[in-house]
Amino acid sequence: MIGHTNFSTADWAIVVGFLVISTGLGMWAWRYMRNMEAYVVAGRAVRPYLGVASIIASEMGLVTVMYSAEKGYTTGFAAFYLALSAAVASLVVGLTGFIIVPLRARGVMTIPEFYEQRFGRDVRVCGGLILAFSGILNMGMFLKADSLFVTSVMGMLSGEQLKLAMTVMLGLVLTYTLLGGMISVLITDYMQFVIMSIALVAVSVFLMAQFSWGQLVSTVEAQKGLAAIDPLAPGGMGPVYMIWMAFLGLIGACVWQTSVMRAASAEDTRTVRITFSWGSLGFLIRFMVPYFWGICAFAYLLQRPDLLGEGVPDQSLRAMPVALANLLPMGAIGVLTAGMLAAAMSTYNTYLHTWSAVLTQDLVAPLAHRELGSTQRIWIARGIMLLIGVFLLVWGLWYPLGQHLWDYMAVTGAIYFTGAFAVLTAGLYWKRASRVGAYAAFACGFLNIISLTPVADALGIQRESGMLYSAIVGLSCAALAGVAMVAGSLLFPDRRSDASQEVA
Amino acid sequence: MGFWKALWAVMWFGGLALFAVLAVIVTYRGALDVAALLKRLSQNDQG
Repeated sequence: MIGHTNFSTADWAIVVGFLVISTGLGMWAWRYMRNMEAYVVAGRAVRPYLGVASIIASEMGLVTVMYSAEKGYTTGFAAFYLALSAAVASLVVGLTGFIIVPLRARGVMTIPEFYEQRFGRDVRVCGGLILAFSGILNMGMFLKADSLFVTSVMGMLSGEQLKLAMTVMLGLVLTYTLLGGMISVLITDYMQFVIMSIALVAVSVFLMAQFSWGQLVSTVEAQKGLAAIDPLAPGGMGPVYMIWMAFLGLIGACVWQTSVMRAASAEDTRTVRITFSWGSLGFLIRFMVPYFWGICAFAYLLQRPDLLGEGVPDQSLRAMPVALANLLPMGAIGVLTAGMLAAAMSTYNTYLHTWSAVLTQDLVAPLAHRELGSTQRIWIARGIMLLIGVFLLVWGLWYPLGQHLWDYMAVTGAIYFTGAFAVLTAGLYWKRASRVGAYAAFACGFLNIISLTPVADALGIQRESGMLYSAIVGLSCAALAGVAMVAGSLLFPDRRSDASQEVA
Repeated sequence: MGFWKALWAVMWFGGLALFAVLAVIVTYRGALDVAALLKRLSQNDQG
């Protein structure tokens, strides 16, 4: 099934050229990879500007563009609040060094490694398992959302074409991430940052020339009401959801493993602060630009509702790529698609690399009966990466989303980070934090799983607003985890020799 | 209402302009950092 699009042969040439160069560059980096430290944190030799390029490129995936455009398309300008809270949180983390600087100073490669230093090996294994479970589930929708973009831009609307696109994209990223590890990730991230930045700015300027700011504001206000401008207006996000989003902004910057991996790879703690302070602008842009594209798509498709195709699923997710494929001229769509593929690949490689490293370092290695050598660990990480790739393909095709993609991402992440936030904060800044407290906090965080649509349905939980429900559950679990950490630590302190470990 | 409209406009135009400048700086300085990273990894390898 083919929908209308301006995508042409010239655009194909641009996209194929980008894919060949990007994959080749990633594979070339293989020659620099000699041991597990080079594989996981690039020999801890990353300087500030490469760090900034890498954090922006990997945190702004095509999936981010897709779920944010959907949020802009459905929620209007009020969604800009989410971008603001993420940027402020990253800036605060960069300026204060909250969590990330003491973690870097301890020299850990993964968060669970810190759990072992502070609480013991069993806490590391438990934390690593929850982290990887949550992270891989979180990544589960990446492939489908990204392939929806590619197929929509190219005018391909059938399910078979979607499956083919998903398989090809996954194969390319696996090829170079499997071989080169973090060095490949950093080098391709840099190239992808450059292409992605050009695409983001150029397409935004083009859209501003098509739709005036005043025209967009009045259209959104007339069609969606006050709540599309003012997040506090009746029927809008509301204060509970806004607080939840502010908390997510903070977590995204300082507790999410992919961000922490950037801190771990940095040359020193000064580089960590610079990366996160300047990276805050990236955190703002990664949400705000796609919101704007989604709003433009809404204004455009009001005039051309036929373009979405009658009966084609995932209409709110497809809206932005379908609108851009018909608004942008030939050639520009190729640059946009290459830029978005760059965004997708830089995120895939980071996430695949991160979760396979966590499982190898924090689950397989501690449970192995003998010390594993560097070469063995690298091969185990590669095997795990391959398995994660197969999971992504199956999950992306099978899982019934049933909620906005952004809310799915928030809930799956919350399974890990609400507990981890309490464990990390207490572990780094409170001498009396104990392992029982850590286990209790992890358990409270895991309760977030009841926010997933199929789980809530299976439990028969009635909810008027999915957004408000997940916000209430998320904030409650975060508060519970904090209380459990403190209560567990006070009631069941570690033995004297354990408790005397240094805190940062 | 006027507050929110003004805030979103300032964020959009200011944020996009700042990002464009940042992108140019990071592209240039980042290339130097990539070269330094590869040089350091090569030296480690020889050492």
